[in-house]
Amino acid sequence: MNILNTLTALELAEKIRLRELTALDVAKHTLEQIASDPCNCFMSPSPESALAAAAAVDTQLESGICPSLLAGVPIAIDDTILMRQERCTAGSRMLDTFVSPFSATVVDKILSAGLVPVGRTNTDELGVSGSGSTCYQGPTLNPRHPETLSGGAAAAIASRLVPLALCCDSIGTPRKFASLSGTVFLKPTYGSVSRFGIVAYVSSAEQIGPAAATLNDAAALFNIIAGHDSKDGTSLPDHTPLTLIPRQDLRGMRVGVLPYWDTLNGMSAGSRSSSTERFDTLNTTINRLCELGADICECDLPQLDLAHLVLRIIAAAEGCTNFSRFDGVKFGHRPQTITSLEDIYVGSRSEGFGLEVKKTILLGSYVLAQQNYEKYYLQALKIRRLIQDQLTHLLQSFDCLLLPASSHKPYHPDRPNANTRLSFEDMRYTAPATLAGFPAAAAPAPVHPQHGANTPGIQLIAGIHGEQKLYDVLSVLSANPAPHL
Amino acid sequence: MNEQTLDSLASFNKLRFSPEERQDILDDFSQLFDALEVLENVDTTQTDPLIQTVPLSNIMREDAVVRMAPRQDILANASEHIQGCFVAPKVLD
Repeated sequence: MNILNTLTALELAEKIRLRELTALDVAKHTLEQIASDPCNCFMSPSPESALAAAAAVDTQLESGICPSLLAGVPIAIDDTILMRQERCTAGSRMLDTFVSPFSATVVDKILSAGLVPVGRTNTDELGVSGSGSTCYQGPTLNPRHPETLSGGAAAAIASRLVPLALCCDSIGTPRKFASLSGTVFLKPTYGSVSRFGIVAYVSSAEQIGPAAATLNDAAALFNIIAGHDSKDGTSLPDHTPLTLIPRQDLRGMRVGVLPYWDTLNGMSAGSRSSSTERFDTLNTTINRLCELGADICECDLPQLDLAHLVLRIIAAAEGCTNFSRFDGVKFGHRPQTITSLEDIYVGSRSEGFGLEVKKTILLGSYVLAQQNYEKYYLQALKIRRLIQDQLTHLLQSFDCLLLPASSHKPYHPDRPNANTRLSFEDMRYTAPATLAGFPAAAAPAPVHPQHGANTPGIQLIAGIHGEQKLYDVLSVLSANPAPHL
Repeated sequence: MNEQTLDSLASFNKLRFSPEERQDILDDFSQLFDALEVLENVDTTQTDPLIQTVPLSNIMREDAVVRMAPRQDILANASEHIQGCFVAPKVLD
């Protein structure tokens, strides 16, 4: 394996900063790897803009200017995040030819920091579904288990094609696929990273976050993209950068364990092995947390089993509204034969959207209809309040909460309907933090890689602006892995 | 959700489906609405809906014109445009 594939993003940046490597050579190497990517991680590589950005960073560094700790490092960008003059499809035929006229704020920030965007990663169509199987250019395979599916960014990092990526977490998909591919994803506090310039789906919940192979890389990227943005009306005014200094141990920290063991009851035989694996992972993590000095306590969240249902309703309602902008007039797919404005609307949307997006639109408009509004949408918003209140109450007693990021059941390329159902069930694990707007991180379980290469990942949730607590716990865990499950 | 409701929603949302898609949607929604019934059992009579997860309100900015993107770049994504405007079929005779 080439040495470039074994370095972390921070190590790579240091070598570029010290001029042991040039950003241009690193970008060329990365683009060559992407061209032979067997997992379909990328929708579209960006060779011209990548090489230009890399050359510009080299020029800055040669003149003694270092834009950031990650200057010169290649980064992939989820295809739901806009970048000026780059094609952005959001995984949908609807946007097959769309070229963005402006950049998302996060893209401006990473360019200012000297990172080098090398391409756009595969995503489920418009972020809907979360099954990894609805992108119109085909699914991404999980490099850990190539017979199963993954998300583009998680697979690109797990394959060591790129050390960093930006992803939009709407319903928890990047956390789930990070967990399934042994990588790190941080969903920041809602409002701490600008959402300006994303293809919107669940506007009240989605956040752009950093994906990486290591926690320190993800944290360093978070420090670059976080902060107030006047272009985003939901952007929080205050931001404290993460301190990237790992603690020695976890003494004085309290971690609550959410009762996901209950979901092991009644498992079918076929799913028992993944459940047992997940059970062992949680047990190992809990033991490790105790050994490292943390106080552990089981805790309860009465509405836990409802979170995925609530998120399904809210996501559909907001998605239905957001997707109404796709009409085939101003941008997007337009059918070949049209005789009326109605033909454009119906033809554009019916040909441009895949089935899961159509279902989301139908469900959204159903739950928002006058006769159903109170029963479904308003009730979902009220239960969302209960979930946030209960999580807030718990996080007054605990620094963070431990839970899985997925059921760890595999998504198979040839089973789209089963994948969709599984994805809905997997939202159980990611929906609480999504609904509450709290930060959550998915990371590899604290097991020595030699013995736990295929171990399911873990997830931690903290309160608003609790990213530092997530970093503190995960950095100690990752530095002190258990020898085996 | 029955076929009549589905037709009504499809018309409202400017969507049409193949027969296979129709059946898939009806089957999927039948299961989903069964699952959603459980939400009715939660007592929310004293609970306000949560719309905004973080404590922000009345976010305003200067009422100033900000150049966002060149007009030609925006128009370039339209299937038809003429004299700086989007083109769509006539809606009035």
